[in-house]
Amino acid sequence: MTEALALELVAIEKSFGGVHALRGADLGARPGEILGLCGENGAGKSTLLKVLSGVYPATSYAGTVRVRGEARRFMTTRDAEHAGIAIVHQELMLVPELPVSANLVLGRENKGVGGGMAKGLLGGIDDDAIEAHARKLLAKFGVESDIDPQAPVSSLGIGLQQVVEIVRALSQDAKILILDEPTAALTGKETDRLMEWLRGLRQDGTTCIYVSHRMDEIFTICDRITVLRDGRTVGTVDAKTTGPDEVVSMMVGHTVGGKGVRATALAGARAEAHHALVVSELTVRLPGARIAIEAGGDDRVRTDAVHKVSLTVRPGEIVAVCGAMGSGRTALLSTLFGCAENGFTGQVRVGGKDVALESPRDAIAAGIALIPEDRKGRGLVLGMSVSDNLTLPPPRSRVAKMLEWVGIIDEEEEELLAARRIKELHIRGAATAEVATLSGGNQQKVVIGKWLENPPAVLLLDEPTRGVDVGAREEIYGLLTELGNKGTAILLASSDLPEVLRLAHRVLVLRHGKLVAELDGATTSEEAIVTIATGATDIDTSLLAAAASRPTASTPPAALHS
Amino acid sequence: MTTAAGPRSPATMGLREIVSARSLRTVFVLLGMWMLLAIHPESRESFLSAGNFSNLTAQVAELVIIGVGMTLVILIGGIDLSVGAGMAVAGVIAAKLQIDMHQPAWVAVLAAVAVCGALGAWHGFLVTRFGIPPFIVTLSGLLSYRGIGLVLSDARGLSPMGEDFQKLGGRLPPTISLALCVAGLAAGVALVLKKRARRASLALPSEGSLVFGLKLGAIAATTAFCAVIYQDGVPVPVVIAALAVAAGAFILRRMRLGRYAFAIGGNSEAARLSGVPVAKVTMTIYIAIGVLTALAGMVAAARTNGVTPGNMGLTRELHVITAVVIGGTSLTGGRGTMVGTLIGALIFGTLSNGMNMLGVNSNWQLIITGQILLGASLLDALSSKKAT
Repeated sequence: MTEALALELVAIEKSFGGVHALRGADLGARPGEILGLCGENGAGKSTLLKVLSGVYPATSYAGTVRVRGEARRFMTTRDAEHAGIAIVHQELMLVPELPVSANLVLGRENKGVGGGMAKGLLGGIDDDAIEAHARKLLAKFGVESDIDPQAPVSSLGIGLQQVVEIVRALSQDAKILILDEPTAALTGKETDRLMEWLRGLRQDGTTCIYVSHRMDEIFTICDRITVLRDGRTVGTVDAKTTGPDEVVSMMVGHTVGGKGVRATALAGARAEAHHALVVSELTVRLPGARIAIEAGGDDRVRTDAVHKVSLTVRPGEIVAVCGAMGSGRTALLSTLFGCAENGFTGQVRVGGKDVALESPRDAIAAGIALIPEDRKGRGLVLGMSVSDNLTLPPPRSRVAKMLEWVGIIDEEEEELLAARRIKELHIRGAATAEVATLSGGNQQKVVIGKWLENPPAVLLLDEPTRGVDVGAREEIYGLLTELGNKGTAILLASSDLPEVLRLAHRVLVLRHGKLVAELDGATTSEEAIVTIATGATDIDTSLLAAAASRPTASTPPAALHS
Repeated sequence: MTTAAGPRSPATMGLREIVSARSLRTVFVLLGMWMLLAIHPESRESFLSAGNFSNLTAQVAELVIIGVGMTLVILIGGIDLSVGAGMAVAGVIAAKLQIDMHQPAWVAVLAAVAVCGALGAWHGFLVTRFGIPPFIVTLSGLLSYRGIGLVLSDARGLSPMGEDFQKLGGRLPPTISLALCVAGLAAGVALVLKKRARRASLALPSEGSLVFGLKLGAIAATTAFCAVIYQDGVPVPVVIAALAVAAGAFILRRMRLGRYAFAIGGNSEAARLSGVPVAKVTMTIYIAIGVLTALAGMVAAARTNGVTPGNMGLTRELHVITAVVIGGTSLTGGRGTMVGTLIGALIFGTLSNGMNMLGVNSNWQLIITGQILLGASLLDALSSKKAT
């Protein structure tokens, strides 16, 4: 390696409360190159980018960051900016109430754009100069007719907001530019412009790190590709001499295909049973979809978070929903639990009865339970005790329901119930302990445990083992299997593919909100799932043949929308 | 000593929880203040008299009555700034019915309660249906209800109330007072004993004998204290306040409504996803504080035997919030107790009572009260930081 690297990360390790997100990740990018960064969800890409951009201070991780050969310790995002690193975040980092122009120069108002005499907070703001500057930048990207620099960012559709975010990062004259899933909300036209601009920057000697789930984009724009798995760098390959298949197999590792514990087919009687959950033609609008339709009309404008998805789950069956970030997994589960804020179309039947899903209470009354993705934000009342969290859901029996919230709490009864649950689920923590003091795994057991008094007919799980240590994970798997044996229908959204293969009888793959494949859980592989989820190649017909020959042939054939 | 059926537990079992309880610290602050006033030469004689304690508690009663509702509201992460003005509206309605229309007291009270309950329902509706911050909704109430009171009364003082109404501000006869004290003692002891028996029968660990003894001792001491200070008869406002606190504590500890309130204040999204009827609970709680505001208004009108719509309940909302916060209820929601609010109100009342006796002028009283509120919150912030 004689060539000096523009950016080098060596042996980066970072953990969150005992969960290792990065365990020795390396990355090196040359000047004037576009480096693709690939990895499954949870492989550590976002964490690595946050290390790189100073979101995580240098004291919170181990390893070395070198910029142009010089070791740097960024304590804030400003430090990273000063070192010439700009980032387009996956989540939008704009101030919605401020106009586009102000957002484009936010934090850099004094650098040649409308800079006043005084520095710092007392510096003057020259709105006209800022607007002129903004117009120039928007014109450079070719969106001057689509975006009014004086309009507040919140008035733009999500796609155009993303454009603003990109323009802001690109306009910083950064030497190193990081793009984290920049095209997730872009139209085809906008994506093409971005590619063009990136090629121009490459010619000027800028280094780009390009993170995407879309293999076609990665192979269109990138020179080399670095692959992360489980927080480690698996390798870096040349984009010209490597194919998408090879990258996918690096992403999932080579331990796939038959190894490890696998789900077995549903037992005889179960396989014949009536469906516990039937979803037909479910469509959920993306927030802000209306604006996108008005703005674009391009073929790649996506208006639905979930588009005409039909699926079934039998009692005792575990069906996994897989897909890349933004594929609609979480929207699907939230909608089934009555949380669709923009409404939905389609029909949902539980135990043969139509269910109106206008609120979580409707869903709970129908026998549906949700283990949400955001355990602390949505799953638990952190300040309440383990016992109070376990007994929070309303009673299901008819008499108790009428008296529900004027109902009198039997403290002793609750204590007994909590003690039973704690013993049953091996929750390490006292009934009276604040649930916030428990470890992630034990917290998750509490979230699941609160639904067990009246076992639900349908259990929805969204990333149930994220941030959960290995031991607790095994216990949760055991619990789910046991619930399945008792006849609960389980719909599992997970980006942890070994988990999917271990638990699921069937695997549904979502891409861009559409159900693109249905695979047999016992015979499919991680490669097959990732290939279909990322659209790396056209769907391999042999995989579908395997799916079609699954033992539960009574379910509808694999839906294909390619 | 252990009960025959229950598992063995040491005498001190449960002691740590009690000692570390926030409300116990507040009790010690209150007792400390009382001790100081009892020792200080300026206040010694006037403070330590049954009559003074009886007055002090009667003055604090309004604060406690609304405080019960405010605790619920703050517990779910809300606030109600309209209670002071609400008292004035309730007072004017009752006074008009009594004085202009010659209605009996019960009609006047029911009408005031209905109107304030409806105002509470209106607040709850605006908050749950449109998501308007409760601060704004009730700030608007603070401004307009005072105005409504003034319009209804032509900005004139209304007095006197009917004789039946005045009883709301009077005292019960000494014999009945004593009977109430004894009944309170019996109820307290019975509750503690019943809980202990129930736990033993379910084979749950019981509190240690030391804790059990301390609890019974505290109940007995409180009863004895009440019997002494109310030897000339217990003020009716105190009885109403005591009932409100008992009901509030029951709701918080023993009813789903209270459990749901904690959950909503702690994490409303998690509560909603657990099936808690968030809107219904919120609505109910705003109605409850409306009703309690009306009751406090009735007590105030009866005690002063009239209503001055411009002054009645003025800045009361701030006093109530101060008492609730001193009592340990978190303004961000999810944490609080009814007993804490009771003690908080007593501390607030003792402050003004004591400072008057010590001859502290009213300007300084404001400064000191403000600093004590800050101190209480600072202590909470420091101790919660240590805990995590």
